[in-house]
Amino acid sequence: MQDREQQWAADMRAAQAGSGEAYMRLLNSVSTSFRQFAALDLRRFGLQPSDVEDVLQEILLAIHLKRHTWRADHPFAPWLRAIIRHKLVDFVRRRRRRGELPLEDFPDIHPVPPVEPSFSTPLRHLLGDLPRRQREVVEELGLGGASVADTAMKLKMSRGAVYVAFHRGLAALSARFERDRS
Amino acid sequence: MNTQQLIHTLASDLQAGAGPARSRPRWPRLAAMTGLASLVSLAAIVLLLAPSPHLAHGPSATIGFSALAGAALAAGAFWATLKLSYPEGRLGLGWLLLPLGILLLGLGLEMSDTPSSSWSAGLWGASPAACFLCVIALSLPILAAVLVALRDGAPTHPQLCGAMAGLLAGGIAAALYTLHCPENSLLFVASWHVLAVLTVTIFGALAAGRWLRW
Repeated sequence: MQDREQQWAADMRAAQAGSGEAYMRLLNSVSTSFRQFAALDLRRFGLQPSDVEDVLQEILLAIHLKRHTWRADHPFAPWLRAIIRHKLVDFVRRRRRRGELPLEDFPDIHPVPPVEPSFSTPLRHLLGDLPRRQREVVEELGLGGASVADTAMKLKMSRGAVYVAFHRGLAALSARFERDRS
Repeated sequence: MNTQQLIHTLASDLQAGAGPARSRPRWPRLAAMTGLASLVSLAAIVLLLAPSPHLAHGPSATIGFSALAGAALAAGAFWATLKLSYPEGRLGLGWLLLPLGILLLGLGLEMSDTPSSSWSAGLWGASPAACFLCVIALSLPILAAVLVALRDGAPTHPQLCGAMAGLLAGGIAAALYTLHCPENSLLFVASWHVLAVLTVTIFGALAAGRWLRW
């Protein structure tokens, strides 16, 4: 526990100084810890195992966008815990608002076997349902293959906002995909 | 996008040096924004409103106590706002005792000095609604500036953080407003100015709930 805190703090300090290597080690280590924690505790929050990676990605993104708010002379774990809790609560709240219920509540419905992604569902049609910003970013980045920096400049958004919009947009798209298929 | 890809993207973004990567102390920016906006409110008072008639012979007890209470409120709220702008920040409210104590002390002195028959006149004054609205109006530029400064923070309790920002803005506005306020009773200040500050606190909480989400 103590070792991990020291390792995280050291890696974050290096990351804030610009080390991508330390940053990747940190994010991977945080991911591993989160997956372990999630495996034990996720049901308590009303989440499904398939949500783990989604929440984790939102958490990683939040760590990235708010990394300047960690103070090197403060412990890392409380900062991380606060961000994780914040994102977890946010995720669960959004899920509830959309009215999606855990699969466990419907024992008679069997999960559909995963199919290879295809474009038989008109992607453009699904894109049209996204909020404007998300749609533009997904079009630029995901379909157009533009870089984050170019997209940020073109849409006059910060890079962070582009990441967030891209991530949210993809998450919303995949949710739509699932619903259309079932 | 799978998680491993995301981690790679984030790491390359870090190395590209985008965004505020380094941890800088957050208080200078918050203080600068608060100070600048306070100057705007101060300028509005000096340019648009008449000076308080009670300033002519040096500040009266009413002005002294209310300015001091407002300043103490602002100082404590500044600290609380700053603290809550970090993810792991927790709310402490013990500091509220200082501005409240100052106000109550002044109130006690005033009430022991004046006959109880004059209290009602002091409480209602001549222009309660105008003062109430003025303090709110003078708070708003400060509140807006503080919220802008908080946007690159990471409050995990945005409403609380916004409420503290409201107390900060209200405290400064109430302190500055003593330069104009034509009333000369702390009973008036303790009701109408405090009510205005509480209103701004609610504004702050509501606005932050929308603007400080991340």
